[in-house]
This record gives sequence, C-alpha cells and structure tokens, in this order.
Amino acid sequence: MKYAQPKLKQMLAAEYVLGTLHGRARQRFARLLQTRADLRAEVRYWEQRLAALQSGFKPVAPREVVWAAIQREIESGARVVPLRTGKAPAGRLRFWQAWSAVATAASVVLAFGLYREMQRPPPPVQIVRIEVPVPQPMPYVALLQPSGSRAQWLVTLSPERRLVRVSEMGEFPMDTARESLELWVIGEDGKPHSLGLLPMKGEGDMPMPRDMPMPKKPALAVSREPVGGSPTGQPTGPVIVVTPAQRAS
Amino acid sequence: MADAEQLVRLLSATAAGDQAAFRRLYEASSAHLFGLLLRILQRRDWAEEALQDCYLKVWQKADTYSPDKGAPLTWLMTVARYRALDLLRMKRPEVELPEEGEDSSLAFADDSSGADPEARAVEGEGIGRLQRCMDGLPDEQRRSVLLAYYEGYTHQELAQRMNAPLGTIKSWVRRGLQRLRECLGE
Repeated sequence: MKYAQPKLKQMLAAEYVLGTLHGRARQRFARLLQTRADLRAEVRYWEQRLAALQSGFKPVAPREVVWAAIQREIESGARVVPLRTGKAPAGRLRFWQAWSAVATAASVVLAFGLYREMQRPPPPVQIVRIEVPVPQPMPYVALLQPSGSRAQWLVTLSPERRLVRVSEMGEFPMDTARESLELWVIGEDGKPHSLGLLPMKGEGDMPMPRDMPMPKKPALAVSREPVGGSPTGQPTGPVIVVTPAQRAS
Repeated sequence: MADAEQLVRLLSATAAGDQAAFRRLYEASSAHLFGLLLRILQRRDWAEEALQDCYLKVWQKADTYSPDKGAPLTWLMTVARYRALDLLRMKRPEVELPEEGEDSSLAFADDSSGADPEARAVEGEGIGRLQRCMDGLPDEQRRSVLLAYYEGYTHQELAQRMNAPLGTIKSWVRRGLQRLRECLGE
C-alpha cells in the first residue's frame, strides 16, 4: 500500500482510530505506527478529536475480582519474600530487587509478642505483613550489527514482561518509503517469529506477541521487507543480520 | 474523581514501578473505563476481561504516556477502547447483530441519561465542536461513523446492520470522516 500519499494516510489513520480498519491491514498499520511519526501524529489527531465520543458514559465500578486478577498478574513477575522490618523504604526495595540470590517466594506474618500482649488489653496485637518483590529474571540482550553498515540495534527482550525494547544507533541506509526492517526471534526449530518492525531512529518499545513461545536459546534476526512488514508472516526479503541473544547477568 | 494533574502523577509513578500508585490510579479511573467498556462490549464478562488486559497494558506501558498525548483519562479510555475493539474482533462471531432500528445510542453519549458531568468536563469544549461537525453530516454518514465507533462494527457488519451494499458503506464512512476532518480543522 502506498503510505506516502497524504490523503490515504489520513484516511487509514482515521479508520484505524474508528476501528473500521481491521484484520491484516490493521496489524500492518499498527506495526507502521512504531516507526512512522507522521502516522502517529495522524492517529493522535483522530484520537483526540473523537475522544469526546467516549467521555460521557456513566462510571460503573468493576467487581473487586478484576483488581485481584490484575494484581496477581503483575505480581507473578514480582512475588513476595519475607523481610524483617515493618516498613521497607523504596531504597530498600530496590536493594532487594537487585539481590538476585533471593529465589523463594513467600509472605510472612509476624506476630510480635503475641502472648505477652494478650495479658494486657491495649495496645492491640501487632501483626506485620511484608511483601517484597522478588527480582525478575534478567532480559535477553543482543547487539545486532549488520555487516557493511554502521547501524546497530541493541535489543532487549523481557519475556516475563512481554516487552521488546530496541535502541538504534547509526542509521541503516534504505528507502523508508518503500522498505521496512522487521525483527524476528528464531528458536531451536529454526522457525522465525515476528517481533515487529524496527524503529528507524532512536528507541522503541513493542509488545511481545501474546502467543509467541520463548525459545531457550533464541537468536534474533533482521530482514528487509516491504513497507509495513512481511505480508506473509515469514521473512520475504534478505536477512541482514542474525545474532544469538543471551540472558544479561 | 481524581483531577488530571493527579492522574499524571500516578501514571508517572506507575511507570517507575510503584504498585501503590498503580492501585490508586486504578481506583481513580477504572469506573470510567469500565463504563465505556460495558457500553461497547455489552457484556460484563467481556468488559471485565478487557478492563484487566487494559490495566496490565497500562502497567507495562505507563512510561509511554506524556501530557502531549492529551488528558490522562482520555489516554486511558483510548487504551481501553482499542482493547475492546480487539476483543470484539476475536469474539464477535458469537454474537448476533441487533435488528435495524434497535440503535441503543446513536446520539452522543452525553445526551443519554448516563451523562457524567465530571468526565465531560475533562474534554472541555471538544464535545461542542465535534457535535456541531457531526450534526453537519448527512444522516447515513453520521450513523455509519457512530455505529463503528460505539459498536466496533467492521464495514462488513455495518453493511449487514444498515442493510446497504459494502461499497456504499465504505464510502459513507470515508466521506463522513473526510467531512469531519474538514470541519474540525487542525
């Protein structure tokens, strides 16, 4: 599709926000948004203009189970370990997060002098429950350097947070109106899975596809694709670099 | 309801990994997002699923919010609406489309009894302008745009719902959006 035409660009952005752009076309457009500031500006235009439509509904408090589920998910990456002080200041938390030897997860309930307290009425029993996040596994990191160019990409992959972060240094020479660079992760079976398009400049975050299995010894690859990424879901253009990714330590 | 400034602070603390701030952000905003999700998805179980996904996304991506992306509540609602659209695409085949003439709210949301003055205040004059521009659209263009926005219909579903050929629907949507853009300006 010719994303360079301003009218078409406007219309695709509008239909993306409205929701009538769907299926493959929507996915392609969403991937392009990662790299194209002009399209992001169009999308933002419509999001802000149409936002008035979504603002007038009566608020409805969701059931408590929804928060419980959210909390469970975010804590599955940050579980609880015992700590002895009553209140852990922020600096302390970071120390514990960084202390990677802590591996078990548990919460501890401390009853201070329960028996003694029971003998005399006030002050009441003091129960202190402390929850401290266990450090998350370190992300996979790879530095991708295609030969014959000064460009390099530092890719950080956090399967636990389902997040891919890419920082670009140097610029890969290509015609961005015609081509995109697509990032792939390759597992033991040799099958590439798309992680999305590389940002052309600076840094970008991409969500890891939900259903993507994380291989034990992943390699990362970049291929040249038509604008918007591979139309088939598999690399169609030349692969310019392949590098194994390792857990940072 | 929390004011915008407070939401911005909570979002930035959330981006730094502050779970307590995230909880307060949820408390201050979830009812607004849930109201919207219930309207679009029409089913409590789906709305709850979308709400959960939406806040997980916010937890991961809070650092991508910046005040130039608009009011914080607007940004959160936009994240929620996209999540609702994704969910509809996955689940819609299960659902029967309502018959022609059963439009539940083709008027602006704030015309209905569910109007919430606090949320409206966030948008300021945006509503008045959009309303004027919407009112200037031919009937079928306005209906296609609003049905797509509120019901998350695809062109195909709009064609079925509005009983018109697919090509006609596409051009109603496109012309409606084009006219809106001309009317709304930069």
